[in-house]
Amino acid sequence: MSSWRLVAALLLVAGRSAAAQGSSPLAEEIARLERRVDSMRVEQRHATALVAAAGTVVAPARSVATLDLIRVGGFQIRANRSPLPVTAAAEEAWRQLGGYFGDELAQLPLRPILVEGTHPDSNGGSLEEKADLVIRWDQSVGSLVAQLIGAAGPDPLDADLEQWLGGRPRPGSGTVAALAKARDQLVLAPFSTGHDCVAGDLIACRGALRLGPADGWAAQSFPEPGDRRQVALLVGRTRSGALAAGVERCLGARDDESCSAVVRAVDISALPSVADQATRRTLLDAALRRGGAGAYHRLRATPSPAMEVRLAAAAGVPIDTLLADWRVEMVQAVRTVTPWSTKIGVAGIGWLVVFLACALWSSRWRAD
Amino acid sequence: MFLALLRTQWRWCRTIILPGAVLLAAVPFLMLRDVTAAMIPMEVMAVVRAWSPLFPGLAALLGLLVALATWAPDRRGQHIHALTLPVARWRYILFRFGGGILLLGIPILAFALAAWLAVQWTPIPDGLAAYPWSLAFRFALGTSLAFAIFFAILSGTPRTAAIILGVLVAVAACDIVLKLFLPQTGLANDLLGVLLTGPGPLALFAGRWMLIDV
Repeated sequence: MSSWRLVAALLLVAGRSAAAQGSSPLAEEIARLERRVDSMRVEQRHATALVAAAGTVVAPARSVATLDLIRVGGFQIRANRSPLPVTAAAEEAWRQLGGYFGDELAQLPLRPILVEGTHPDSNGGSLEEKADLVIRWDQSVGSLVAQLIGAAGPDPLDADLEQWLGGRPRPGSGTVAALAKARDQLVLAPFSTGHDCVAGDLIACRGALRLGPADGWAAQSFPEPGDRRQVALLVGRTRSGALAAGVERCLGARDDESCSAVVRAVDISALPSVADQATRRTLLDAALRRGGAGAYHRLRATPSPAMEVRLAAAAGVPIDTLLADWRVEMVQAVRTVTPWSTKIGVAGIGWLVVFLACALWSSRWRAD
Repeated sequence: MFLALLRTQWRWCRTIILPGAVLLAAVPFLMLRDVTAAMIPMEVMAVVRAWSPLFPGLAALLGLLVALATWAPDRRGQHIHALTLPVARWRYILFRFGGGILLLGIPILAFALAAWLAVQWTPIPDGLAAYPWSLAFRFALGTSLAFAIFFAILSGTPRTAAIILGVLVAVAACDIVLKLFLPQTGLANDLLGVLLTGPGPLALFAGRWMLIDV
């Protein structure tokens, strides 16, 4: 591609970004594209050199990647030399991990990893089999941070917590968007505990978020006959065999005893969730924020099959206080992310005035 | 003078304003007629979401039709009647614009009252809330903005309309040519994005127009 086309493309994309976003994302986009243009120039030089050398018989030297050791906090990252912003991303990842795990982070070793930044125009790297992360080096710091935390983040070896969360605890789940989504999910859940929780019933919240011991989740999550019928309906869609007769009695005759039997018969892991793991993560995040630097240590040091006990210990407040605060955070988050904002309303009035001015300015009655 | 102009404008627009008011008063009741106490929030939201795109469409259509009706007699008569009036053009424009907005108030008020009444008679599940006044305000703003846009276009000369049309055609042509060289670009889509997002002039018409929401 010739340079004028590259420059035109750059300007076009930059202009588009400027219109749609703020100045910071624009700067990032320009920096990414500049790196890409540089990369293509390097490739062009290589290609030119290869063409020039095509007539000679010289065995090409085997390319061996040089790996640098990057130590940031507890991170030990080996990375090849590339424009990938590994150090900046590691610093940000370490900061996020520190904010999440607090003092306990010192007790949680991070896994050493090998990162390979690959050429954006190539199909892969030379260390693919050995590298833990193979990333195109035009990725943003934000994207790299998430990948570093995912690959090297600590493994607290906490089976109960992982079962409840559906994975390892990781920072970045308590964002405003995640909280707003959690509220929407609870409100729209087909089970009473979801919308009752949003309405302020904290016992319903415990059921919806599975905060009690695992063997009581079914009873806590589906307290109403309607909830159990809904479970039977969902189970009946995907399962047959032994449960089929019970499901039919539950739904056909609306027999609550049969519905309860269906709910009891289904394995905990196969029961529908009132709120998904992302919603539960927002509560853990709220507990850790509330509890400060020692929160994660208290979470680990509190042995209990009920997550409500552990979360309360982490937050340093009774579980009802934590749930009530979390509920308020969700409501505020919805207000923040709502698409209909005062800004759009004011802009609408502004545009109305602009179009009226256009009409006044029109030359319809002038001699034209 | 304003009242005299308003009276003529009412005569031109009443065939749009009155049926529009009746239609808009019916929409909230039609939308919520199937919502029952036995429904869970997700089902209620599905009903409301299905009807939601209708509101910005109706707002834009009402604004367009009233703007057309406002200028049609003047355009037919080559603006001779307006030129014979003892009033400056800017005042005439302001009177026409104000008259249009005032007349649009009738269907908007009908919609607001109908939305409020409809949610009073509808069992709304816990966790969901009704926003009749918020939706009515948004509808009023959307209708007024659509009216202002078409009012500005129609108040101009045919040359102005040709320029606007020319710009749209040029954007479409540029879009096609650019896609030949840079397949990932989408000028028309980008332009639409600028118009429909953030503080763009059509941002009001985007997003969720929900009578009932979480």
